[in-house]
Amino acid sequence: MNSDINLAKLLPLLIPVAIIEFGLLVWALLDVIRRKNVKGPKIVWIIVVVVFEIIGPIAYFLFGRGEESAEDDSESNS
Amino acid sequence: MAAIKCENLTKKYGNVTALDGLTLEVPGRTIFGFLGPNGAGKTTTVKLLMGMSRPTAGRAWVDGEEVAADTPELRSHIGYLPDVPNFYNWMTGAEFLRFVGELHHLPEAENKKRSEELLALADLKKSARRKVGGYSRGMKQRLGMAQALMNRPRVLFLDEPCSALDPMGRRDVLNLILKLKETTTVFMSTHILSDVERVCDSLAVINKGKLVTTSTVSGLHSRFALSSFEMEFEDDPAKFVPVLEAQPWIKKVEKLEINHTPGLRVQAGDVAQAKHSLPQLIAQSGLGLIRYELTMPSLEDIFVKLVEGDTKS
Amino acid sequence: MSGFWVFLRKELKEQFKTSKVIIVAAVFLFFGLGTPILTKYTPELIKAAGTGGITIEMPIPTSADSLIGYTSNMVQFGVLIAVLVAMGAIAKEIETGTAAIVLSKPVGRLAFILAKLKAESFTFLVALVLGGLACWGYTFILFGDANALGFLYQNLLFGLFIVFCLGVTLYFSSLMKNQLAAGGLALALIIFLSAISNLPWIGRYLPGQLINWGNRLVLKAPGSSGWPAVISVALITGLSVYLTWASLKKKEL
Repeated sequence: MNSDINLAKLLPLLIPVAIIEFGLLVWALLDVIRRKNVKGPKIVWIIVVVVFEIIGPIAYFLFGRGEESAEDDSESNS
Repeated sequence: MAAIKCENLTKKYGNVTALDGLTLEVPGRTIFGFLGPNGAGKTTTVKLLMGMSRPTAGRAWVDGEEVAADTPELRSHIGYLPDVPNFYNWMTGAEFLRFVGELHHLPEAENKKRSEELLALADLKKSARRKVGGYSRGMKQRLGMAQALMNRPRVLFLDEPCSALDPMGRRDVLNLILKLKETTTVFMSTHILSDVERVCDSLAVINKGKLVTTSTVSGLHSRFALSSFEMEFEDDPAKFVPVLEAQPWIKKVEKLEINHTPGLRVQAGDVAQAKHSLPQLIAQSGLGLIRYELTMPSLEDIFVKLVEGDTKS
Repeated sequence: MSGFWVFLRKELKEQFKTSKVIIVAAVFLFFGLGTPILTKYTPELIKAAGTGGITIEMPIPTSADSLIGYTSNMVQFGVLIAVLVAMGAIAKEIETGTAAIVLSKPVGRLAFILAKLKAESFTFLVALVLGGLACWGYTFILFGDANALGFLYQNLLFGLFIVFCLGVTLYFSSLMKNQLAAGGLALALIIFLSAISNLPWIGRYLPGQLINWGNRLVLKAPGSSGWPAVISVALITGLSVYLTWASLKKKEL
């Protein structure tokens, strides 16, 4: 049985899709790791972001990002 | 004309009466302290006067206009610092002030000048380009003060302006409030008496939603002034206490211990009589007297008394 | 309406600074690119995976299937994201106290609400344009044709549907203290209204008909026009803005 799928035509079309998916994944992962204040445990978000493609990073961006954490007053009063 | 006026202002949350029939008048260009313990109804009152909250009963006027929810015209002359000021975390301090200036329709050049001025005044120059999300509680408090002043308000409401500030920051804010007096009526809620003593002209004391008293600061002092005597002895004055308590002109005798020296504080009902008779009694007691002083009760004491009297009645 | 432009500028900036524009656009782009590919190759994949014996009759997918498939994906994900974006817009400002500060300025509360609705609509406009272009382009490449005009109309109708979702969600956001509760109620109402959109008579006036009409326009299929639904959805959206305003006026800040 011969597949009609034309790989040469399909591959270039898939690249942008992969870029969006991978881009969101990497962006979300970097954000989880860097952010001091994440709502809920970081490891859970990392799993969510990696396991659920597209939806995972979106859920993180809309729910998981806490406020940037407060710094102590010392530097402002110096 | 009174800068702030309210009549029978009442706010109920379900069965809880947060504010019970407050009637108050604050004359223009005064600094008015609104004093009460936590949960007394201070924040509720400020919100009602700002039109942020709707009264269950009663009315309020600020700067001659009746307070309501959507009153842009009135708001252009008012400044407001909430009890826990919060800002958009993605903005920098400077951006937020500019935003507030735009909301006040300040012309571009003036907005820029005014926000620079206030950033300096609030000691936030160094942090001006940092995101508010990273500010500490004290910095937010100072930014809150700055944003309340953007429009050079005629009436300024400050809800616990000195909370979350260190002693230095507190002194700065109080000095700033004093400077505003020339142009502004300040309504300042606080639970810190010494702050009221420092800056306010007059004050109201509120407890459990009810007005306890209104007075000028000096009036309050004279009402309670010079009625107590403090003394320190070389020996324990335990035996002397019943002698004092037997005198009809003495209201109350308290034992003190100041730096390990035994002492007494005597509240006199009749001060003139006490001035004559107390030294005699001390001499008869045979106790070695180290210090004898006619003192003024602190506002803290007065406050406690007022509030206690209120709960008893 | 005092303060509207200042609020609008702030809200638009916020959409960018909190990355909402990029996130929403990425979702629309993903489905815009993915749907045509899946539509085209799913039957062939099934065929390739099939084990002799049973022959499944699969109709050959058309370009219209691809365009309609994209919209139906977006009705699910787009609406969910619209609710997620809008549910905290007012509730969170009241909770944190930012609303108390900005509304103590000489501004109207209607301006505060409208600026939010406009800025959020803008975010979805960007996403709709990018997702739509991507979907149309890929469909054209893969199928050799694509109904441009019909798809444009469908996207306009879908855009109105999204604005309606944002408006309804803003109302619940002004009503509820908790933003998750606001989102849940908004989603429930939107799903309910969509579900009864196929009822006779009343269905003509409900948001689901916007999508059905759009699909007919893409297919160039006969059927009654969806103008009654367009008008009533626009009215419902206007009504939710009014109700949001009324609710915010009564709100304790």
